[in-house]
Amino acid sequence: MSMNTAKLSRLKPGQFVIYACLAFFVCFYGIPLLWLGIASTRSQQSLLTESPFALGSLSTFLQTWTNISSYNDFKLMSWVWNSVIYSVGGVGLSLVAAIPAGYVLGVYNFPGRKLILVLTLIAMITPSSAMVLPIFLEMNLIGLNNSYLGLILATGFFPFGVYLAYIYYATSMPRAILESAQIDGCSRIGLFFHIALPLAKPIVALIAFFSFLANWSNYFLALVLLSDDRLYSLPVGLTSLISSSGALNSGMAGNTIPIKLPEAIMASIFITLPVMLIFLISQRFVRSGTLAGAEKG
Amino acid sequence: MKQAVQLRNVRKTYGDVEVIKQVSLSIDEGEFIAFVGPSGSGKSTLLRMVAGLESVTDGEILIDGKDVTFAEPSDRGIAMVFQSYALYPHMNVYDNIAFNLKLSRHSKSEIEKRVNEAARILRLEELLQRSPGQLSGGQRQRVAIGRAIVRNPRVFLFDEPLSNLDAALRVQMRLEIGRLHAELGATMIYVTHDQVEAMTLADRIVVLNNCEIQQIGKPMELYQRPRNKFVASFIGSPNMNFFPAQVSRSDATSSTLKLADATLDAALANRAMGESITLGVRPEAVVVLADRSDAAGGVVIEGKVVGVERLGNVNYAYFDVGQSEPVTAQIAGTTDLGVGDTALLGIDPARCHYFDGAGEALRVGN
Amino acid sequence: MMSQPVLLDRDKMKRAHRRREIFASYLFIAPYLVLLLMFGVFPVCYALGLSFTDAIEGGFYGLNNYASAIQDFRVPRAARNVGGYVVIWVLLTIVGVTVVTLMLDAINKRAANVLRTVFFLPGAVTSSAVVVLWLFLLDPTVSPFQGLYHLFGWENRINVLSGVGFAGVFAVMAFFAHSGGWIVVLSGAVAGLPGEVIEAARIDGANRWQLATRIKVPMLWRTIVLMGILAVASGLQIFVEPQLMSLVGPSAAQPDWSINQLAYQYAFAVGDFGVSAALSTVVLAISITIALLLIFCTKFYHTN
Ligand SMILES: Nc1ncnc2c1ncn2[C@@H]1O[C@H](COP(=O)(O)OP(=O)(O)OP(=O)(O)O)[C@@H](O)[C@H]1O
Ligand SMILES: [Mg+2]
Repeated sequence: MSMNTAKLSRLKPGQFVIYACLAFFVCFYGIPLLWLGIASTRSQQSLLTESPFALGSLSTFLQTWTNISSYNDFKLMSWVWNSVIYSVGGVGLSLVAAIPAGYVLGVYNFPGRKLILVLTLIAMITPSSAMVLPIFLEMNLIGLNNSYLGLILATGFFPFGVYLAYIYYATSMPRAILESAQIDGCSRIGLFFHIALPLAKPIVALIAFFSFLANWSNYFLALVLLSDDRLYSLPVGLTSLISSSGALNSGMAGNTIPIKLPEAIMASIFITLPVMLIFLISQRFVRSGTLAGAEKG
Repeated sequence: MKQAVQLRNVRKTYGDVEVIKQVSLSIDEGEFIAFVGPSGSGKSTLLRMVAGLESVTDGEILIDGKDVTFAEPSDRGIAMVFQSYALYPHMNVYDNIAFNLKLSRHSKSEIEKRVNEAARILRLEELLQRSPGQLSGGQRQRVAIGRAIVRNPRVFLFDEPLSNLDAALRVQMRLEIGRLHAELGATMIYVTHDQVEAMTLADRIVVLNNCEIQQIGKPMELYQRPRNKFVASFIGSPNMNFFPAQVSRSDATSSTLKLADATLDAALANRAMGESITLGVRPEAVVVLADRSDAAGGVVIEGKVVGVERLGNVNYAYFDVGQSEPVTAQIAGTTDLGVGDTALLGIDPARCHYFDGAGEALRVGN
Repeated sequence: MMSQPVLLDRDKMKRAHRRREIFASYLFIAPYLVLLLMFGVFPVCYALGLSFTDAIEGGFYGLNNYASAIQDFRVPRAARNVGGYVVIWVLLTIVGVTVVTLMLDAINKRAANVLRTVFFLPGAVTSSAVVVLWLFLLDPTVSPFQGLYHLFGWENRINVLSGVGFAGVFAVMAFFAHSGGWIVVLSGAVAGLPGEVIEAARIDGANRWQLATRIKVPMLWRTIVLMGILAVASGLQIFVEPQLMSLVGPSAAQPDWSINQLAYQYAFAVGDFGVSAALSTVVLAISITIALLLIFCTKFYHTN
C-alpha cells in the first residue's frame, strides 16, 4: 500500500515528461519504418488518397513486384547482384587487410608503427565522402574507374576495421597466451593462424558487419566511380530508376514506365531489408561490439 | 654435477634503463631454484630471458651447455607456466596440452599417450574434454603445468604460478609442485613473491633487488646467514628488527657497541671507533623479560606495547622503543601483554646479526 | 682479448634477428599498407597536386584553381549552406542524443533496451534510401506525418521544404539515420560510469535531475565532445541528401547546395578536375585538421 503510493507520487511530473519525450522519439524513429513496410502493399491511388496507414492488399503487392521484376529485364536484380559482388568483395578484402594489420599494430613494435597508426586514425576520422573525389581522380588516372575491381579495392580500405582489430589485440589479447604458444613452437605465421585469428572471431564478425554496412549503402563513391548502368550498385541503380521514371516527381506526368510510388517504395525496401535483417539478428552482439569499439574512442 | 642452466654476465636494458645488471648464475641439473625479490626487482625479466621471450642485451645464456642466447623460445628445451595460466581459450584441455606435440608433428598415438600420462600425473583425466572457461583456478593451473610436462622439457620455468589462487588452494598446489619436482626430477626455476613458497620448495633461493643478485643460497642459509641487510629484512616474516649502534671500543676479539640506551659486547674484531653498525635481531630472538636480572648478560631495552597479534600458534607483540620502526617480538601465548603496557626486552648478542654502514653483513667471531 | 670478434658476431645476430621480426611485421601489414597508400595517402597528395595544375591545358597553375573556385558565386553560398546545416545537425545530435540517453537511463532496463533497438534500427536504412524515404515523409499527400503538416498549412512538398528550410530537413534526415548509433555508444558510456560515484551522489541527496546534470553529463563530457566533433567532420561532407533532392523534380533540386556537390559538378559537368581538386582539397584539409586536433590535442585516441 505504502509502496504503491510511493510509486504513484514518483510518477508525477518528472516521470511523465520522460515518458512523453521517449514516446515522441519512438514515433520519430518507428513510424517511418512502419509506414515503409505497410506502404509496399498499397497502390499508387491508395498512397495518394487514403490515410497514411491504410493497409493494401496482397494482389497489389504482387502487381508491384511484377512491375519491378519485368521492368527492363529485371534490371534491379542485376543491380542486387552487383551490390552483392561489391559488398562481398569489399568485406573480404577489408578483412584480409585489416585483421593482420590490427594484429601486428597491436602486438608488435616495429619502425613505422606510430606513423601507420596515426595515418589510420586520420583516415578513420576523416569522413569517407571527403575522399570520394580524390579517389575518383586517382582512379581516372590509373584507369580503374567503371570496373568491379576499382570499387572493391577502394572499399577494401577500411581504417575503422584496422582500428577495431588494433584495439582488440592491444587490450584484450593476453600477451601470455601468445608467448605460451611461442614457447610451444608456433612460428610468427602459425601464431596468427592458430591463436590470434581464432581468438578474434567476434571482432572479425564485427568488422565484417560494419564493413558490409558501409559497402552495401555506399552511394557517393559508387555514383562517382560507376558510369555504366550495367555496373551500378543497388543504391545508385535505385536512384537512377526513380529519377528516370519520375516516380516521385508529381510534375512529371504521363510517362509510360511502370515505376510509380509503390515500386519506388518496394525498391527502397529491397535495399534496406538485408541490412535490417542482419541488424536485427545480430543487434545484441553488434551493440556490445559498437561499445567495445567505442570504449577507447 | 652437470649444469642445466648457466647465466654469464647477463645484462638487460630498456633504452637507458638498466633492469638487470651483470647477473651470473649456474643451476644444476634437477635443482629447484626460486627467484625472490620485491616487485620490480627483475625476477620476471630474468626468467623471460631464460625463456627467450626477452632479448639479452649482454652476456650469454646456456642451457645444457649449449649457447641459446639467440635461440627461439621453442628451441631451448624449456617449458613455461604463466601467472595467468595462458590457456588457449578456444581449445579444450586435451588440445591445450597437446598443442605443442601437434606443432612438432608427433604421431597421434604418441600424443595421446603423452597427454594421458600428463593428465594422470596431474589428475586431470576427467577434465580433458572441458574448455578452459569451465575449470576452476586450481584446475587451470594444473592444465598449464600439464602443458609444460608433455614437452619433457629440460627446464621448467614458473612465473608466480600460484599468485592468482586463494590461500588454501595455494598450499595444496605448492605441495603438488613439490611432488611433481620429486617425481620428474627436472630442473625448475620458480619466480615468486611468497617466501613460504620459496623456502619450502627451493633447493636454492636467488634473492634479487635493484636489478642485482643479492645472495644465492639454501633457504636456511639465507635465513641464518644473510649476506646483507636487504636479504636479512626480506627473508623471514615478520621482518627482522634493526637497531642503530656505534662502536665505542674494539680489539682483536670483540667490540662494544653503544645503542640508544644500552651497550652490548659483540664478537666483532677490529672495528673502527665510532663506526655506525646496524644490529639485526629476528623477532624470535627478542625475549620479553619478567625482570632485568633475567637478561643473562644480554641487552635490555624498555618498550611500550603498541600492538599485539595473536595468531594462535604464534603471537607477536609490537613495541615502541623510541625508534621510528616498532620492534617485533615473538611472545608465548601465556604472556599477558596489552596495548600501553611497558615491558623489558632482552636481546642475546649471540643471536644478533651485524651490518656495516653499507649494509654488508659482518662476520661474527674469528 | 677475444671480445672484439664475439661482439661483432653478437651485433650481427641481434640485427639479423631484429630484421627478421620487422620483415614478418611488414609481411602481415603489407595488404593494408598498400590500400592505405593507394586510397589514403596517394589520393590526398594527388588531389593536392591537381589543385595546382591547369587541368584543361596542363602545366602548373599556381593558386588559380582556388581563385576561380572562390570567384564562383555558388561557392560562398554553398559554404553558408553547409555551415548552417552543420550548426543545426551538431546541436540536434548533441542535445538529442544526450537527452534521450539520459532518459533511457532513467527508465526500466528492459524497456530501455527495446527502445534503444528501435532507435538504432533506422541506422540500417542505407543513406540513399533514407533520403528516398524522407522524400515520401515530407510529402503531405502521402506522409504519415501529414496531420502535422496540415497544422502548419503546408499542402505540398515544396511548402514543407521551404517551411522547415533545407538545412533543417537534411539535419533531420541525418539525425534519423545516425543518432541511434550514438545513443547506443553514449548509453555504453553511461553504463560504464562508476556505480559508486552515482551512489555517493544519491546519498549526498542528488535527485534524478541533479544526478543527470551535475554528475552524469560532466562525467560523459569527453564522449559528448567527441560525438560533436565527429558530427562536425561528417556534416561538412554532406552530399547525398541535397543531391537526391533532384528526384522530386527540378523545383526542389539542389545540385549546388554543398561544397562536395560543387566539387562533383566541376569534375562531372564541367570537366575541370583542377577546380574540383581545389574544392576537395579545402574540404579534406578541414577534415584532416579536425582529425589531427582530435588525435594530438585530446587524449581521445591513445596510440599505446
Ligand atoms: N618493456 C619494458 N620497458 C621498460 N621497463 C620495463 C619493461 N618491462 C619491465 N620493465 C622494468 O623492469 C623492471 C623489472 O621488471 P620485472 O617484471 O622483471 O619485475 P618483477 O621482479 O617480475 O616484479 P613483479 O614481482 O612485480 O612481477 C621493472 O622496474 C620494470 O619497470
Ligand atoms: Mg613479475
